[in-house]
Amino acid sequence: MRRHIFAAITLTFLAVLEAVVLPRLFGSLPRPNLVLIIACTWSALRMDEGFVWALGGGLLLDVFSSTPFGTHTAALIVGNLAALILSRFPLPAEFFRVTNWVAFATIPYHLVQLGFLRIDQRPFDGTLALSGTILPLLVLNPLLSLGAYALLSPLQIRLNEEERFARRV
Amino acid sequence: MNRQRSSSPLVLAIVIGIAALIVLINLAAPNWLWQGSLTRVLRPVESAATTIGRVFESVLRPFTGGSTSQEDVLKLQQQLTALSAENVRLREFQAQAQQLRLLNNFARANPALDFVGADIIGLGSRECDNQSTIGPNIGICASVIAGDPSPYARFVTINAGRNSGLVTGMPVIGGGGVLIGRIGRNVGPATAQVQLINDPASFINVQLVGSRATGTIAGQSDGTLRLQNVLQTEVVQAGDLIVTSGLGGGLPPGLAVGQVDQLVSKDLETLKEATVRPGADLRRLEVVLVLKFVPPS
Repeated sequence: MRRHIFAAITLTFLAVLEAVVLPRLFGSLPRPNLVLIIACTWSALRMDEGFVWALGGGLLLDVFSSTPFGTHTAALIVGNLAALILSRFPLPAEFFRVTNWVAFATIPYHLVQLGFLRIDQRPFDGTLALSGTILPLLVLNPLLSLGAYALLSPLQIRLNEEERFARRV
Repeated sequence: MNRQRSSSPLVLAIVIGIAALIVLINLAAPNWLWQGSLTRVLRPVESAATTIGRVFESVLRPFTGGSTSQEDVLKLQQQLTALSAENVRLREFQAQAQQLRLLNNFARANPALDFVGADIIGLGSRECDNQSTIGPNIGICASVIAGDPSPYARFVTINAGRNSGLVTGMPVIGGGGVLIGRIGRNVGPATAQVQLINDPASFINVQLVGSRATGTIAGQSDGTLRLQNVLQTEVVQAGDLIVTSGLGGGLPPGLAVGQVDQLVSKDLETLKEATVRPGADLRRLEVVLVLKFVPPS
């Protein structure tokens, strides 16, 4: 139960940070997708729970966003699913599982957002979206995921131990 | 690294199902979820985060190239914007007076004809006519409490909504009395989203104060503004002041928008294009005024 409260507080904090603080600080520079990073990191570590985090985080972002409701939720779920499928293939660097996961999820996350904008008949510059947002975030998001990993890894170890103990009992 | 757990198809199916349901509900009934209590619940959190964001911004300003002198520059820029807006209004009055004089001369020269005076559609709320300054009966003051998490849209959220009488399309004024955007589709009971003029989906009918040439200002994906659809025969120069034309009725005429920055089209093109410098810093909006101008549906 405690970890669900932790998840709710963390996701709300990051969603507010992403919607309120980052636009002021970054202006037109590419802004890191904090909710994506934390949800994907947790997915890479705890699989199903990460998807639930993606659902919750996506809903929170949708509350703030002008895009059609459900855009961020769908984008986060699709991004996580794509990363899940790709992570099944043998990767040369298992060590970078979290960074790979975040990187793989970043592309579909943004493509789904652009798809929803297209459905909503809102114009966007695809080339600029790729060069000015997606490509820089393909570097920035995985880098920041190392910080998320450092934050969440001890929690994951503790949860694993608790689960092992519960199974033994 | 710890070995990850395996995925459970049931959990994944439930999560995907909920996400699909949300998308389908929104497609069937847009804004249904938005108009719920979610925004009301999150408004205090947003306001608190905005305050924290401003503190962060002021703390980080010296490290991001700013300093106390930059604050002075900012204040001076705001004063300049306010004076520019005042200047626009005065020049607008002068241009209108000149047009009325020409019309009057035409009427005198043609006494056999009957004339009916008329305004351009969308002249604005009659409540504004007798107001020399912006009063509470013509506008609603609101604070900007959030931006847009999507990098592909330029919207801000304000702390006034349907309960304050806001409806989609109302013009929003900021920074020294210049147009910064319009109320977007998402209007909740206590909050509303403002589509900024530099959103890629934003188009505004405008007029150059000096030459009276009409055109449109469109937001670009990179956050800049572009003046488009100006006839090649019209004179467009850097520094020309731009105001809303009122054509189409979506916005009242005479609201200052910005200044022509640089001409980007070539002489052989049919229409002229220019980059536009907005009259307000669209990244640092704090308090805005929503004009109670209801655009025709």
